[in-house]
Amino acid sequence: MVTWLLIVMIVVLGSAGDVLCAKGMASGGEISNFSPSHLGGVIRSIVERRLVILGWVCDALSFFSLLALLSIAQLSIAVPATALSFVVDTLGARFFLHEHVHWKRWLGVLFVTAGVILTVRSGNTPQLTGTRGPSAAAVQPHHHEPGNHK
Amino acid sequence: MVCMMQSNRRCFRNSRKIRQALSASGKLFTSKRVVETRSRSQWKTAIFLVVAVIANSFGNLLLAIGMDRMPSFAGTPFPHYVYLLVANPYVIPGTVLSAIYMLAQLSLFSWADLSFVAPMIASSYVVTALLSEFVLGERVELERWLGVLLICMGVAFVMRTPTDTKAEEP
Repeated sequence: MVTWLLIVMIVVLGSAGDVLCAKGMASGGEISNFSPSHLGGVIRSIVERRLVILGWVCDALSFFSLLALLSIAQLSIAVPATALSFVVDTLGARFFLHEHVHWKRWLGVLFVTAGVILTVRSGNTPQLTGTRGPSAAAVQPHHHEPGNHK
Repeated sequence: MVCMMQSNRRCFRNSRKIRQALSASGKLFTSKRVVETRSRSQWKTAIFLVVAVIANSFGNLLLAIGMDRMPSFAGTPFPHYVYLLVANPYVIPGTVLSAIYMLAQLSLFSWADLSFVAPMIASSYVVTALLSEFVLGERVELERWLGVLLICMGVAFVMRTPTDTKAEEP
C-alpha cells in the first residue's frame, strides 16, 4: 500500500515538476543567445521564474519519495512503475499546457514507456539514467540491490 | 507579444503547408525565409537534445561511479563526507554535466513542447545501455536490448511530430 502511494507520489510529483518547469519556461519567449557573456543572464532569468522554482520543489519531493521507495520496495516492481511518468507527463502536457498531442506522439510515448520499463527492469544499473533529475544516480550506492555490483 | 505569437502561428501554418507540399510533390514553391527559420530551429532543437541526452547519461554515469566509491553516509562524520564528496574526481564533473543537462532541458522547454522533449530525452536510456555494454563491459541482456529498440521506435514516432504545437491553437 505504502509502496503504491510512494509510486503515485514519485510519478505525479515528478510530472508536476516537468509541467511547471515547461510552463515557466514557455511563458518567457524562446531563449536564443547562449554566448558565454549571456549565459549568466540566461541562468538568472531561469532562476527568477517562480513556476520553475516550484517545479524544482516538486522534483525534489519526487526524488525524496524515490529514496523512501528504494528503502522499502522490491525494485523490480517499483522502479519500472516510475516509467509511467512519461504517460503522466504527456497527459499533463495535453491538459495543463494545451499541447496538441498527435496520435504519432502518443504512440511514441507508449513505445518509450514500454522500452523504459524493459530497460530498467533488466538493467544492471537501474538508477543510472532518469528523467527525474540529476541526483537520481546518487541513490544507487546506498541501496545494494542484487545485480548492482560489477 | 501577441503580434509575435501571431507571426509564430503563421510561420507554423506555413511550415505545415510546406511540409505538405514537400511530401506531395517533392518540390518547394513557398517562401524561402520561412523554410530557413524552420530548419534553423530544427537544428537548434536537435543540438540541444543531443547535448541534453549526452550530458544526462554521462553525468549520471560519473555520479554513479563516484558515489560507488563513497563510504556509507551514516557511518561517516558529515564534514568529512562533504570533503570526500568534493575531493572525489567523479562527483564534480558529474554534477557539472547534470547542470548542463538541466539547462539544456529548460532551454528546450522555452520553444518546444513538453510532450515532445520528455520522450526524446528518453534516448538517454539507449546511451546508458550502450555505455554499459561497450564502456563498462557489462553484459546487457536481450530484454534490455528489446527495451532499447522500443525506445528508438518511440523516439522515431515522436520525431515525426512538430516540435511546438502550442502555436497552432487559434
